[in-house]
Amino acid sequence: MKEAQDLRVGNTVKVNNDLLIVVKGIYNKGARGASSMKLKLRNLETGSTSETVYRASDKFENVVLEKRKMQFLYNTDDMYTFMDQENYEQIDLNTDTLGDALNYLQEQMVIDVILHGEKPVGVELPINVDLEITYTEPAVRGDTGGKVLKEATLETKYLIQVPHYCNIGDKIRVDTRTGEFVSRAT
Amino acid sequence: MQYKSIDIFCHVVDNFGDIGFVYRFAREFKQAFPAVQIRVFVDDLQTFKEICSAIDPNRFSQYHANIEYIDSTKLSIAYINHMAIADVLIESFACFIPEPILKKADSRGRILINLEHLSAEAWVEEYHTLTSLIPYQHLKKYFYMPGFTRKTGGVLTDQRIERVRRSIAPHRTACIRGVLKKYAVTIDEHTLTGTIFSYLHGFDTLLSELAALEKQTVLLVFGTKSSESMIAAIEHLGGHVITPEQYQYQQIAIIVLPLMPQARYDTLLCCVDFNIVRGEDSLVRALMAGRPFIWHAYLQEERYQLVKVAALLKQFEPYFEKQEIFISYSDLCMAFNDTPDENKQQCSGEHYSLFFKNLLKIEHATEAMSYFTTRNCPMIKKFARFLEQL
Repeated sequence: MKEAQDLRVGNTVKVNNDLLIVVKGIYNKGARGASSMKLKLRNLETGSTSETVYRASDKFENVVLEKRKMQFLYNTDDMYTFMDQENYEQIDLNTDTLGDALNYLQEQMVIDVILHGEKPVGVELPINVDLEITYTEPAVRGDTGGKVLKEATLETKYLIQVPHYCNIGDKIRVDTRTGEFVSRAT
Repeated sequence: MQYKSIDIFCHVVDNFGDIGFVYRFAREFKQAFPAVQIRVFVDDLQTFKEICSAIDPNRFSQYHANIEYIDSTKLSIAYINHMAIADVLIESFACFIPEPILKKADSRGRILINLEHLSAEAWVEEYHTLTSLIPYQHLKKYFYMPGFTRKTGGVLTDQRIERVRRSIAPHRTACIRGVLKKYAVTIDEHTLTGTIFSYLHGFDTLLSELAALEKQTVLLVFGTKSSESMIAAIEHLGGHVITPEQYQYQQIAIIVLPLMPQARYDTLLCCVDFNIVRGEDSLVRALMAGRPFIWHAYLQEERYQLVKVAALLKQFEPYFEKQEIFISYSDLCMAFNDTPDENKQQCSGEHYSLFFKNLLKIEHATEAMSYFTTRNCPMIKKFARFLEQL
């Protein structure tokens, strides 16, 4: 079993005999520590997607599908090409299949492509990825505690809230489950 | 969907916010839709009794204002097997509902709604009314997200507080005198009055800045955490103990009061010059009371309460006529909540002088937001409409 808060893009769960893959996941803190997860799930049989919400502690039957290590090579428009690390076979995935993984995907990155039968149905990312800030407003003097946040654009064009002390060119670590800043990357 | 009955489940986590909200929700829903049967399962009737004196904590089942209240700690399998399941089940604040009840609800194709905590954060709009896929064949679950905008589940506005606010206005001083009649404190129309119902918090600055106003002041303090904090501040500052319930620091009389039934507390909120309130339920009641207030948010890891307070202030800002008044009010509210943990020592950097100077203007903003919320975000109407559309 896996808790909703531990699910991330590419994870597959089973609900009432339906196999559902996480396409997008957003974690939010509620009042008094009661958090919730908004999950966009795709039914692997029907292909239909649904926006759903859960208590962070809700439990799911986790399903492990076959995974293959593949390297992201390039993209043309909304098709993203990956190469199998063992047999060098190339496959194309579209933006719908990649979902929120696009926020963290960099060329040459090796990720797990998830297969349902022979069909690639999604990708699974590492929990943390390191990405460079390409734009943010200058730091504000005096805020060293990191409690005040500002918006930053990452090299993947993903917009993220970062502490004020972060600057353009900094590499930061991002949690792919929550999409949130973790720390400066060393 | 057509529905004739609602079962509400309430787990009292700590203090009065959970049952306080559920009590008001059930009461307001029943008033608006008298034909709907409402039953509340609550696991702490003793706490409930403190805000609703009619409740007998020793009874398994009892009716109050045409709503049935059940002590859920005494639920048995035999009772569950024989009870009729309502058309709609509400798990307030994601509380636990016993598995046998859910199975029974599943077999009858009922609706399950997780009624969440109020939040002013923007993400609430996106979560509101989304489904939750659960391992049941016929039971459908939805999330209902209260909030301060039209696209959310709204705010549990309270018709009674609105009525009280209008009717009590000419009699505020008399009403406070009634509360103070047991104590050797006299007040007149010029006395500054406030209530405090907070989590642990240092009140040294509040008392010092009130003293500097050189104005006769009476503070009415409720709850263990508020009173412990206030007494600690009085001791630091060298105030005087008159009785275990009454203290004096310079021209400020401080009265520690026992918790009141919800209706009496709501009336008092409408009468005083300012309120310091804690948690989401009291926040709404302070807003409905229309008097200036400071919200003490439930403390969370990494000071996440500041995000909650900032979100509320963002909703509040348009109702202020002058930006500088909003900024000083906002600074005070943020500073009041900027603490890493609950602490009765003074550990936040709030300053009250502009708050007291601008009380009337903050009152106008509070009344305006209360008016908008009542007219545009009434939770009971929105909730009923949501059920009808399922």
